[in-house]
This record gives sequence, C-alpha cells and structure tokens, in this order.
Amino acid sequence: MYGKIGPIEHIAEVGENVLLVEHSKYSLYQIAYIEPIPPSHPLVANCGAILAGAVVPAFNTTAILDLNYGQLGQFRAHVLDDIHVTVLQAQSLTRFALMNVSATINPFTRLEDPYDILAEFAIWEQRRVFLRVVNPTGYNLAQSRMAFYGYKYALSGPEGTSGGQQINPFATYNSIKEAVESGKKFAVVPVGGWEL
Amino acid sequence: MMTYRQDYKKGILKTGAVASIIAPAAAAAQILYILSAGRTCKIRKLHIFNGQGAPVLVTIGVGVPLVAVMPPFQAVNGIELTLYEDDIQDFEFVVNPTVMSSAAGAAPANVQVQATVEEFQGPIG
Repeated sequence: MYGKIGPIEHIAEVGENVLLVEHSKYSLYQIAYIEPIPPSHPLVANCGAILAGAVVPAFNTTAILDLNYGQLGQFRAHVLDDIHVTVLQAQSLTRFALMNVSATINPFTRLEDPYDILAEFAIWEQRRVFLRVVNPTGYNLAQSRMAFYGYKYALSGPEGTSGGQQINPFATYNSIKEAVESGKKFAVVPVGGWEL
Repeated sequence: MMTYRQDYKKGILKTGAVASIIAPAAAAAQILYILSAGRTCKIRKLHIFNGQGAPVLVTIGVGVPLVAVMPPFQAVNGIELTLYEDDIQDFEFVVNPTVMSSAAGAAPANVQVQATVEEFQGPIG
C-alpha cells in the first residue's frame, strides 16, 4: 500500500506489481529493483529567500527529484524552515487537494505526523513536481528549504527494464474496475493529480 | 525540555530578534516577537539584560503603548536574567507581544530582551 502507517516502507517488493494512476489512466508494471534514498543534503530543495508574506509560485524540483525512464520515486517530505508548501503535480494540479482548499506541508505538519505519512507522494520518470512556497511570517526569510527522502524503483514492462528508453506497461486500463477485473494483484500508486 | 508539559496543544519554537528598550515609557515599548498572521504564541523563554545602573522592572504586554498582561519581572543591573516557561505565565498572545522597562537609556544603558516563543497554528498561517 501507498502511504503505509509508520516509518516509510516499500510500496511493494521486487517481483510484485504496481498500478500507476495518472489522470484517470491505469498502467501496470512490475518492480525489478528497489533503492533507498536516505534523508540527506542533496535532497533538500532550497526555494530561496522570500520576503515577509511573499510567495514563490512554482519552484521546479526537476534538479532534485527527477528520475530516469522506467523509474518510480516514492518520497516523503518535511519543511526545514517556517514555510507553507503546496505540492503541484503537474504544475497546474495541486496534490493533497479537497474541493475548495489544498492542504500544505508546513512546520506544524510534523507535530501531528512525525513520520511524514501524509506528506507522501510518488513521481514517475520526469513528471515534474513543483512547489508553491509561502512565507507566512511577518519577517523576511533568507532561505526556504524542504527535505525529501524515500525509495526509488526500477520498473519492468513486457520488454524488461529500461535501457535508457521509455518502457511500455504490461497493461493499461481505463478504469480501476477494469484493472481489478483483470485478476492481477498490484499496489496502487497515484503519480499525478486527479483533474476533477 | 521546552514544550510546556501540561499544554493541551503543540506548537513550534521560534526566537525573535533582540528588543532594545531605550526609554522608560509604555509608549516606548518594543515589539518582543513578530507573530505570524493568524497564529498565536506563548512565551517559553525570556533572556533579559539590564544595562542600567540599578534594577529595573521589565513588563510584558501587548500594543504600544503597552498594556501589561502579566506582573513585571525585576531585572538586577549588570547581570542577565533568564526565565523559563515554568517561571512565565501561560498567556496566549493573539497579537505581537511587546515589552517595556521602568528605566532605560541609550546603549549601553539600554535594557535588552529576547524571547523564545511557542507558536500555534491558526487559520491563515
């Protein structure tokens, strides 16, 4: 399962299937390899200095979180400064969104959720994730940092793993019903927003 | 341990800039901590240095001119006074806390105060 309770764990194990959900399309792959991505300074995004009350509308995480073809990233996040971060995936879609508001990741999030369970998201290949960052304080911030950690998965399709090229899924489905009725077992992983 | 042991809610610890008091009037009160919009805070630590030649009374309050929200602390001259959460009233500020002194002058005769607060989440920030 995605977003397991407790410290971060694999979505599934090597040899098991994942069903990537992106914009109401469902793609079935098999996990070929898993690599941990520990919390460390290369995975800290610094969105820069922000004036009091100001906003960085779309910080591009491409230099930090992008993956190669055929690779899936499972990340949890927390902020290192007093900032509010809205996760955008793709740039026009907010994650953690309700009908009228979008939740943010902020310094208070970890007080209630020390394992960052609710700040987990997944990235497929180079599907860009952007961060909208707000300085909620009454003073200027010299830096605005957010840290990521998690796991990287090399996925396999019918032709095997990627050799630097895009890979095809074992199957694609137009609905979750169709995927379930296929009889395959899989862990479901959303890798983008839902447009409605 | 900087989290008040009996508080029913959790916040984040933050430290404000040093407030330098150079005049002994409520109208000369200084902002002790700039509260983020929508948030509230409680003072968890105070560090006071009295640069005067005699003890002063340092009062924590709100607004300028200052309206006190707790009794004053006496700060003896020439030595720092550090107060922790158990020594400070659990008053919850909904606006910027301010601070004044019963006597103060231009540096080095100023009275310096710095606070560490626990900020609580609000509907804005």
